[in-house]
Amino acid sequence: MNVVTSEPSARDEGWPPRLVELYEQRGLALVRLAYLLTGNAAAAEELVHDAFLATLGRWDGVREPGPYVRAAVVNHCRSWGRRRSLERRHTHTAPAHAQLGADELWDALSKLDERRRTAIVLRFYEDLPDDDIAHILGCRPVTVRTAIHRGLKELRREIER
Amino acid sequence: MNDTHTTDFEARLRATLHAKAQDIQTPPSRVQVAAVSMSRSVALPTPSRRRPAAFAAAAAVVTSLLVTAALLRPSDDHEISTGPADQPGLASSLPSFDPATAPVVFTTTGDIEAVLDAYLRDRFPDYPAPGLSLSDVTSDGELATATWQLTGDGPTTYTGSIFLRQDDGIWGVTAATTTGVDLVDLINDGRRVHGRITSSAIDLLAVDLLDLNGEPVTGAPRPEGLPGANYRYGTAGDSTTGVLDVDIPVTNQTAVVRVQLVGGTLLSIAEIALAPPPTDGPAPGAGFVVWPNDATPALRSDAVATARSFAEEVVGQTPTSATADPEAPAGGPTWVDVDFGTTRVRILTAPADDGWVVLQVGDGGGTVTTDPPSVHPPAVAGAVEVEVWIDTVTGINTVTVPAAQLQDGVTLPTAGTDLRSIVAIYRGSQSQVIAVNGGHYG
Repeated sequence: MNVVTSEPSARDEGWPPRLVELYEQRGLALVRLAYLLTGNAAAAEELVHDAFLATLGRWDGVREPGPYVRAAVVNHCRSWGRRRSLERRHTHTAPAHAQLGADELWDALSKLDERRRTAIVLRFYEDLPDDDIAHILGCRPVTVRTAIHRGLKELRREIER
Repeated sequence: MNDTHTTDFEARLRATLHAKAQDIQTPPSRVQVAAVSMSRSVALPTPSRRRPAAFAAAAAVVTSLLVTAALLRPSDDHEISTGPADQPGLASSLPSFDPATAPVVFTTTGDIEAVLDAYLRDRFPDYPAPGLSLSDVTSDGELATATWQLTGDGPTTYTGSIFLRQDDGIWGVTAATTTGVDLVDLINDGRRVHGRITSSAIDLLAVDLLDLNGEPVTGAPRPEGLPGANYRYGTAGDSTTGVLDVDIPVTNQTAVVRVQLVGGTLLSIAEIALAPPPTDGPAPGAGFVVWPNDATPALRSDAVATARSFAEEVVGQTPTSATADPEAPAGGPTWVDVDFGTTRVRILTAPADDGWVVLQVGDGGGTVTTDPPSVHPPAVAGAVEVEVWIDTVTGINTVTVPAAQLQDGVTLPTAGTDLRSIVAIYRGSQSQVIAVNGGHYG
């Protein structure tokens, strides 16, 4: 395996031009999406890179790179969240509950379960319709609506405490 | 329902998300990767994710991580031997395991190598670190086996087998074993998964009981101290005796028992899918029902499973128990008494073409008027607010109204003739469910 330790960039290393273009055009937006899904800036960038690598590995079967990479980012973020839960459990530490402060809505968002948080971010940040969110989450559109409905309700209840 | 309040809150949420997104100002650093062939036989580098916290801040230095991961990666190519793919170990510890028909616990597109690689990536977040490798891949074209081995920093080497079968050209993993970990006499009797798991290792023994989507089965208990809705893993964990007795309700579904040794990171994998005994086929039905009026993957193999699935998907709450009327005829219809902890709800179920369905909940959905088109669910004492599901031929709408508004009715989004069903979920002052009513209109 030929390992490159410095320049040239991905564009020069045999990546499909369309994927490189997507990376350059949407990279920042996807890191922001991952940040909203995880609340962790460092992890967000890494997860986006992982998503691009995963996309590269399946490039032959990718028809719509934009939605595919976005779904990959969401899935990587969800896996990251699940792994965090596993680590918390096996180290017997309590989950990191955010303290409500000036950024109370953001803090309340961090307390939502992963599915509701993901549905809410995809709806209110990415402006995706129910069907698209359902496709990404692997559930029915009505389940998305319910997740959003209950997520909003939980957010309200949290910040009204 | 206060629409202005709702809109304001959603606008505030939208603004918060967009403002927080601005915390990220720098575009991601450019990816530096190994020269990558699109051939399936050459695997891609993947950055290690389980790094010490002290290095987390350096995550932006993607280049070094990718290169490190590439260097850590074991041999990319595994020569596949042809011949009988023996299934060592499983036949003795799991007499019911049939390698040719066992449910698949993991699959993806690609050949055996691709499936194995993806499987290990999925089950070991750090793969290929810390020293996880594959060998002895054997296939007869229908079945395949491989040996996995993990040699970490410590003196112990963990090893086991992975079993695959091919169906319509698609390879899937049916089971994995870990040497020293026995899944002894595990049985899925349609109501519970029970049996004993033992381990000779000193590491923590983590056991998950999942459905085929990787979600905890309905009856899987959540670990103490963590909110259940937030938790994906967690039937049991033990680090002292090396013995875990499993006895978990599963309500007639295939359950995946996944056992992993944990010692700072995941060290092993042993898992198998246990299918319940077959049930009698459903009888034909007709017309609209309360739930579901669209295709749903929810478990609906019998009256209790259907009532539970309805409770989880529509009410959004896992029942503490669900009991079918013992005097109901074998082929339904069957009333199921569902206990939500805060209240009990009776749900009428019946078999249909694609599984059981819900015909009525509680006292029914109430009356429907056409001028103006509205529905009037029954009033319930003590209710503060009511979440109403309105299922029409164009889709499902949910609205939440103060309980006092029920006497005026809930406006239908479409004409009454399009209505398929209504479900009203009544909540008390603590947002607890105190009643559920529902009926169909076709």
